[in-house]
Amino acid sequence: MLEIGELTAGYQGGSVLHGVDLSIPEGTVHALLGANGAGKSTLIHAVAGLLKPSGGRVVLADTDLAGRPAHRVSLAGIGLVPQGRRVFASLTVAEHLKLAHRKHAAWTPARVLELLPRLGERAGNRGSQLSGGEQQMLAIARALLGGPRLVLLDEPTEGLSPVIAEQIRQLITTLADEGLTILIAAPQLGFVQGIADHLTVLSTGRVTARLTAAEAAADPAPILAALAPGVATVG
Amino acid sequence: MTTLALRARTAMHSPHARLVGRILAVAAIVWLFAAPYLVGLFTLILLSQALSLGVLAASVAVLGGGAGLPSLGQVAPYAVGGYTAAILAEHGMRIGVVHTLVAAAAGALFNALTAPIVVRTRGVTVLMITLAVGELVRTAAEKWKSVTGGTDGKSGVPAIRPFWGMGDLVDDVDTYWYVLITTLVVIGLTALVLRSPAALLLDGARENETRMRATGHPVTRYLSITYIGVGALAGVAGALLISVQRYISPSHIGFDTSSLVLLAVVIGGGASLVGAMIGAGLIVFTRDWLSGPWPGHGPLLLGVLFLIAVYTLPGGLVGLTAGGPRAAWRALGRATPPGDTTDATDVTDTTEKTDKVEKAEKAEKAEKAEKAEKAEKAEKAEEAEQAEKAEQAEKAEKVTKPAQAASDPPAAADPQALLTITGLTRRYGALAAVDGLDLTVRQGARHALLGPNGAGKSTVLGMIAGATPVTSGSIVFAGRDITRLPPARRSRIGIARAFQQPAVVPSLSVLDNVTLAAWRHAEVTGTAWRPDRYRALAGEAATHLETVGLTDRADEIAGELSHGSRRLLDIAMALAGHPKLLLLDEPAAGLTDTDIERLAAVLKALPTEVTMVLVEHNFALVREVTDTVTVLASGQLLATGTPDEIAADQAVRDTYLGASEPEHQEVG
Amino acid sequence: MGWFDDNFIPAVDGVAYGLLLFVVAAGLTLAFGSGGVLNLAHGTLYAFAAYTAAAVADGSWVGLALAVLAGIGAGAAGGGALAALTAPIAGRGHMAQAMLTFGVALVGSDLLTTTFGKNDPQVSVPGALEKPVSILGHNYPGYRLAFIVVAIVLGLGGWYVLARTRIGAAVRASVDDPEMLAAGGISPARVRTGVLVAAGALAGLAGGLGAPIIGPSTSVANTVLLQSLLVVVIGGLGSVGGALLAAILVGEVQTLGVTLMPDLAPYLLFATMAVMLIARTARFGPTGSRV
Repeated sequence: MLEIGELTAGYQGGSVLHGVDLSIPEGTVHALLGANGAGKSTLIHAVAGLLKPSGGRVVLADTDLAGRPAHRVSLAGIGLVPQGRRVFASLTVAEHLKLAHRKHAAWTPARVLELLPRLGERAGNRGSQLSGGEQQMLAIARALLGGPRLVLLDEPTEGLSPVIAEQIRQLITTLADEGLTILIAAPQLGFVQGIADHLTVLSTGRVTARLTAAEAAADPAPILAALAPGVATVG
Repeated sequence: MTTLALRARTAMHSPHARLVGRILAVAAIVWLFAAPYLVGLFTLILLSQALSLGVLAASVAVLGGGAGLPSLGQVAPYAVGGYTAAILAEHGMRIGVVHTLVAAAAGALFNALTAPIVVRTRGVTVLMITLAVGELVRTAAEKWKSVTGGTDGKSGVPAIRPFWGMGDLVDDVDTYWYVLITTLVVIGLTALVLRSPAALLLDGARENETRMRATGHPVTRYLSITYIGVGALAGVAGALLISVQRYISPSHIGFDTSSLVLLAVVIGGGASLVGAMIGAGLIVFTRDWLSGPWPGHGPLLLGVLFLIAVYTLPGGLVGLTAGGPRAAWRALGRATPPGDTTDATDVTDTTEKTDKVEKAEKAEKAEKAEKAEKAEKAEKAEEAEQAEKAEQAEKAEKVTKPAQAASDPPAAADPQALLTITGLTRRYGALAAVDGLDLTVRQGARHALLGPNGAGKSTVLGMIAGATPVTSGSIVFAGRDITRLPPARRSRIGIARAFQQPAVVPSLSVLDNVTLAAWRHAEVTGTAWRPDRYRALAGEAATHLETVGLTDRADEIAGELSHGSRRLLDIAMALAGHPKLLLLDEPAAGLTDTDIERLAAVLKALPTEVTMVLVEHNFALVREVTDTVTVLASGQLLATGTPDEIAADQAVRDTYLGASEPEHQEVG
Repeated sequence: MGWFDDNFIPAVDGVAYGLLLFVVAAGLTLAFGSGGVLNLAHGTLYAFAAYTAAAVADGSWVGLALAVLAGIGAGAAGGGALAALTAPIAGRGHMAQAMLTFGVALVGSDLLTTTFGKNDPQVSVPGALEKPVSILGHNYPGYRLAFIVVAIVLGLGGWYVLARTRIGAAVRASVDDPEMLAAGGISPARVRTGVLVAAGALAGLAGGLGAPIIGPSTSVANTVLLQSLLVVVIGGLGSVGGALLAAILVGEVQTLGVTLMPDLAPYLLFATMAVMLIARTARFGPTGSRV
């Protein structure tokens, strides 16, 4: 489905990603792990077209999308659930759904509300009036309504309490079970264990480990080492 | 130390820009003195006009490029000065020096009256407000016939004489000499002011107002003084107009003049006085030159010049708003349109580091930059999160309340308390980011605030520092209720703050940054006008650079430092105020391991007089440098104890650490 | 009752004047809030439309319709040109774009005098609208009453588009977070262009309809720009609702103020703005951001 090859990217001349390769087969969930500053968000942004890569390929089903503007990438079938959720503060939930819905998309507002009834209850509320969990649901709904072939999730539980994080995790599991192809970036192994089929560890802009779910479950040591370099952190 | 400070001063004023400016200035002055012997009478009259307009342009340049207030309204004090001079002459006072001084005073007075409005605004709002101020004065000039002569204006103003006992200025050459000398004196004085340490205050106010306020600088007062000062300058320009033309009417002080002057400044490149003068000259002569073959098309020409200037001189425009002339020069040198000065300069980091460290830092910076953008939005979202967590936290609180009551005796009764927070609440709409928090920080404590994202930690720091308004509750610092005190005042009574995003003045050197931070806390006074005192202060401030290990970077431009070094500079700036209470907001975020080690060493070495409140996610660092930890959840207190107690507390683990699978990670 | 009688006409006049300013200021605030362009050439667009209207209008209904259409066309074209001119420097912040529009305003003012001369043309309106209409025992110019009705319809229509349609949602979303709008498949650049064209069309529409109220003259561009800037500043940058209230206020100050306090009227507007700014910054800190 998605083939990332030799991807390099950065901000204003400084390079953050140094030749990243990644392959995501259709219908699988791929986890991208890395500590703060490893380049996860940069990779997500480069794939989504929010950041112009300085080199490499982002091939979605035989079309190279590298360097295309974000709205073209979106139309080509990549949905984004960004870090920090970034719902539109002044739009109501209903307006989010109306704006995001694209004709011929498999997901319709009705189907989304069936999956996420909470959003229906908050239909008249603005983005800024939602709780973090509701915002996250809305951000996911917004991506689905574009009819994506691949969804990028960037730290989907950041800043959410454990209970809400678990709900989001359930939601992602449901979507994965429906066959959606997903790339999920997370700073911790715990969240993606049990969801991801493949795991890639990113460290200072380079891939340092590739594991299958089974390998990661058997021996998470290499991942944990990459996620907590030097000073061990909590939280 | 003194030599260090000297070098810093020269690094601050981009040497390249200075040299070019000086060469241009000297050449222009020499030519201006030779002009009466070189050019014809008509050209000389034009030159007089250009000089008068140049003084007005200089006033706009200082206001825009210096104070960061781009104005379309300097025609107002210009008009006030001009009409004042005309009225003086009509009433028999015809001494040029008196005209100049009275017009300056009138212009300054006018701007003093409008300062309370203009100085409140920033960015494009300044353009709108000042445009309205200018239009107000033009309307007044039209309507107030008895004084101004209405739309006809004041014509046939009697000739003036420069000084008592001198002859009338009837000859155009004599007038030129008078205008030239007056202009040189006035611009020379302005240049002196701009080269004094006081100019650094404007740099700071323009580029990082928050940081300036947090280090005790009354920014509004600086901007007001500048605004009043440029009013005087414009007033002088008005008086010069009268001596050249002996005529003033509302047509001199309209939109056209505002645009001419702004264009002169844009062409001149921001805050440069010489640039503004040359810009004014170029415009006056080009307009005249083209009015021959192509009469009546002044605005078209001006407009086209504007378009060309905007497209080809990004530096000039940036100089008006963001980085001042130095940044403008650097921007021109790089030929890239700088969006955010801070970010643009980041990548020119040329320090010699190992490849690996540098790359890691850059990666972090990039992600950090992204986060900064979202920070505001995220904050709101986090606040929304509170509602969800409230119930959960309530349960948790019940569990730990008894322990808390024991370890946290009633605040007011504690004689050792430096900071006592009672019932502190901050609401955003219906959501409480901080909800009835009670907290006592002992004198000399090393106190950490922990909690999940959105627990209200940064909001608490913001309220202690005065940047975030308190909804209800009180903050008592060293026995004094500071709940409503503005940030600059809090800084001066000993509360210092390091920011989550390092807050430095990007175009100034590292040493200048720390010196600015020490400024309002030093015993020396008169720093603004005495370079020797400034150097002495810089020498003292340099010790804070030593503390954080940045001594060898003292001369570098702060905006070009790596993220880690900027963080350390930010902390040095907080320390430069000799604070009693140091507030640190996630100082380890985005730092490399090496930088974190250095940070830990700096924090551990803080003298006991300094009490520290630290918000931090890195528990290893918290353990290393603090003795008390308070955990917040949903804006309320969850638990307080030593770091070890907190690490062992089950309620804390459940609420806070639970989200991140702590069983996979080692604590400490 | 006497006071009311004396001041009824200026008060209604103030509403008409204010609503005209509102149509202009709505475009200005839309262009700034959503397009990021503080358009100092906005008054010039009004002036172009007003001159065109004066040239086209011949006192017939067809002439009026042509005038309005020509105004809208001229304004929209101007808005489109501004969008194209500012696009390359959109990344350089508000100030650079404001300066650019300033240059455009200067060029425009020259073109205006070249094209239409320096005389202030008279604007003819259809005879039916020229007749005074009697309300509450007062005779009032019919055109202004008609304009009030049209402006209210326009305002409601604008509100509907912004608040109730997908296009309006996209415009508001582009203010909130243009990157996320792009990530949803909608080009923010296209939205920006659309907004600037629409804002220009509003100025043009105002010029076409408003020519009999604020007539074409050499100073009209500056007058309209200045007063609509005041409206935007008083109403709060980027707020359409605030602009409506501020526009009525400015309109009343301009009409009722002149009747009641002829000597002070020129300064009343400024005083209003000063009071609003001081009141607002006392609550929210310095207005505007350093860009």
